[in-house]
Amino acid sequence: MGRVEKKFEEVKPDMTPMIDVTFLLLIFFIVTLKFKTLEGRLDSNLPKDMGTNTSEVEEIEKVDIVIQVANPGQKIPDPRTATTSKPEGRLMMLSGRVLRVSVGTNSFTVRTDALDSEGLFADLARLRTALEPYARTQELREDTPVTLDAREGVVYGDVIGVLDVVIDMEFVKVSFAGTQAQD
Amino acid sequence: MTRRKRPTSEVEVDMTPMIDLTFLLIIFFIIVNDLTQQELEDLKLPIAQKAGHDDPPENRPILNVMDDGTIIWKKKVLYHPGIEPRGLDPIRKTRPDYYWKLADTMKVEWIPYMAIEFDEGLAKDLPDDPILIRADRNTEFRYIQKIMEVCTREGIMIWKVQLAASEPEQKTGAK
Repeated sequence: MGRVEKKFEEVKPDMTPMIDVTFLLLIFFIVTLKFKTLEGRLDSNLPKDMGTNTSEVEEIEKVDIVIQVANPGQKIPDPRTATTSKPEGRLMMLSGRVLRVSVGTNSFTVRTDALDSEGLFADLARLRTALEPYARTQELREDTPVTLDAREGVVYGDVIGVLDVVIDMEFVKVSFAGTQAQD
Repeated sequence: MTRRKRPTSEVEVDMTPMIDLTFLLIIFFIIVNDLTQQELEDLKLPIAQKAGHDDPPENRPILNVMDDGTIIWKKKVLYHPGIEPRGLDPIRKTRPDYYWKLADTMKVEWIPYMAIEFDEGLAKDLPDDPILIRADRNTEFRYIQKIMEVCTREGIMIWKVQLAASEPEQKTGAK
């Protein structure tokens, strides 16, 4: 009887090292986890056809928004993205950048440093005024094609800023002009 | 004496449920880690007020465009400045094609898995699924224009393009 009891007691393994390792693993995964960042998107369409379209085209007023760079600005580290290893900022930003946005004969400058409370370009309020005549009625907004023509040196953030206003004004037919770049 | 003995023997705690739970947590974190990390590169998106909240549809390809123009899809580099051209650009005709790898990937890995819909106006089958372009805010727009151009190539014809942007930090309710 005494022998049998001894055997039973020795069967129990020591769990402590396993629990230690398990906790280490758990902590590792918690620390390395980066939750999916909240991202949004803006929808746009490309022309469905490549070459000429033979279908009849109605005469409609078009809006061309030309985006040009007046001052490319300086590329400096963004202090808002500072980390312990890179205290000056992990990602780059453009400082002092100025754009020139034209709608027809209407032309104005947009400073990309001047942001409103929501982090959007404050100067784009003038684009809103310029687009106002094309956005008076629901029909106009749905039928007027808006083309964004980004010229040499324009970056993605600039285009998104302008596109944001266009979509906010409920224009439906938004497209992009092709590139003149060589490669 | 008999009373005293009892508490000492009851001190031993049963570890099994805790270990079970810990393992479950570990498995959860491994899976979540894998799913969220694989397709999104680390870059700074521009902010847009109208950025519709993105519920990613299944199988939507995501193109990451870094600020030097490098195009990455699922950790694979499809274009980088200085890539060797191959053949001629089918739209520009006389120019060498620097975006052959992107075009090949679209034709072989994307289009066969996309819904195809017949377009009455063009009398052609066109892919009906969107792609997402996720570019750094400092990426020159000509790289994105180039991607859009590749999308319109013969045999690709993707026309639904979504541009990624962040929502403003303090968003005060939806309009």
